[in-house]
Amino acid sequence: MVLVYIAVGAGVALLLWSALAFNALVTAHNRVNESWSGVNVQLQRRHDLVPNLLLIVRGNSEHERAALRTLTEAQEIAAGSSGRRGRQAAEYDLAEAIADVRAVVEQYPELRASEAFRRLQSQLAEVEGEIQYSRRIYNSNVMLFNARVAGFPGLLVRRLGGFRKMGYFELGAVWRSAAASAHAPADSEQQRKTAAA
Amino acid sequence: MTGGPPGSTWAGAASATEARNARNANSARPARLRELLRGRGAAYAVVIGAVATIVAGAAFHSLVLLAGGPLVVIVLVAVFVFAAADRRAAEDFFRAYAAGRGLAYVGEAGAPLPLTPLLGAGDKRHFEHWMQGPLPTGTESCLGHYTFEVQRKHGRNRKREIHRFTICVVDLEAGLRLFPGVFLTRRRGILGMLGGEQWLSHAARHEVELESEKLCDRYELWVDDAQDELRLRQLFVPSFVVLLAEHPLAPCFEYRAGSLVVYVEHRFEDEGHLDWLREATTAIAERFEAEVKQAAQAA
Repeated sequence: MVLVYIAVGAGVALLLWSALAFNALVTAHNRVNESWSGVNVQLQRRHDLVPNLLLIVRGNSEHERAALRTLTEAQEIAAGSSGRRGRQAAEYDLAEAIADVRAVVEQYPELRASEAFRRLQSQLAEVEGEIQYSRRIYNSNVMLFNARVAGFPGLLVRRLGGFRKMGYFELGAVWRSAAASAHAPADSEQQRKTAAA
Repeated sequence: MTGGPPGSTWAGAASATEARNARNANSARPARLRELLRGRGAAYAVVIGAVATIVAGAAFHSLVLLAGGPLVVIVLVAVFVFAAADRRAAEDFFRAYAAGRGLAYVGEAGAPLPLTPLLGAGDKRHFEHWMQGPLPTGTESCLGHYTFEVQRKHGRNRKREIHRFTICVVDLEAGLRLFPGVFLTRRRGILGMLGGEQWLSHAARHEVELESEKLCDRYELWVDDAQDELRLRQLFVPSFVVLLAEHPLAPCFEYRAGSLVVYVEHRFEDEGHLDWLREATTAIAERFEAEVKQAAQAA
């Protein structure tokens, strides 16, 4: 009889433990999704600024008009992209296109000094900074989720919820240089050259 | 403090310089100790105490009192001198710290009003090494040590719990309407809650979970039920979340009735940590101010 009690007790404890482990996985998964929404909010804020950039910058040469066309297209593609991988690629292209347009602006000191552009530049800097931070939150959540999925006891219960390891949100070197230029002081020539390159 | 005549060794001329250069509350202690040991007060206490014990020993015909009395007096004087040196060294440091950063050292005066739960917690409260002045951004602030005591009765036994903090208080009245009550507290386990460490009442407040796992592991975020959730989410922008989740001090804060209190459950007695706390306070205050400004512009 004692053995039966021990077996029942062990079974209940195991069940409880599995439930807690599963619950922890669900919580971590929800946090990853929430932080992804946070990334999307910041990316959307950035998309909203692109039309303003297009309004301010007018292409004179063919090369400049091409840069603006590329930016428009990249923004449309990024806005229509779905899924994390698709979004990642589209945002990478958009960042590259914005860097190109910024390089165009560098050639026009008057435009660069205008109040409208400076305000836009400041808004872009703020948004790009926030995107970086929201990405950091997302990636950190993914890292913790992946550790739970791969670790014990998550390894045993992950099939119940169909949980799999998730990918990080990377935006590459262009993104980093764009963000760096956005955070640089307006009169830093070296930083501008880096961003343009 | 013993002054002594000019050029004498009674007062420590070197100690004043050391006090000015104090980097933590212990920096000036050796100088203060030397100064007190060379001072007249300690010498008088030792001589008078020793003579008194010898006289008493002779009067009571006690060899123990005759031999041991002076030794006990010397030990007692040494203990008192050490405690006094420690206290003066701490004051030297905080005065030097305040002077170096454009703050006014007010000691135990000028305690802030108990506008937030922390400032009104416990049965007894006191402030030490209080410094008033602007943050690097120009906003007026108060920085110092804060202690509250809780007295508990368990049958006939009385237990006294002391909770020590370093706090920085900033007056941000402009955010009063937007943020009726925001409380970011350290996450406590079940033992922490049973141990009575929780001074924040949860009545008419609810917990909010933000998207960062790191932040949620470190803190609990409680807000008044009247708090606009959207405004709260706007306050906790990703950069702010990362700052709080990764800051080495893990600073907590309370914002209520226009008063922002940033605190750490530890007494900092060195300039590095105090600077860090001021910087964290500046960042948190700036975030509130930015949100208030944005709301004003939108209106």
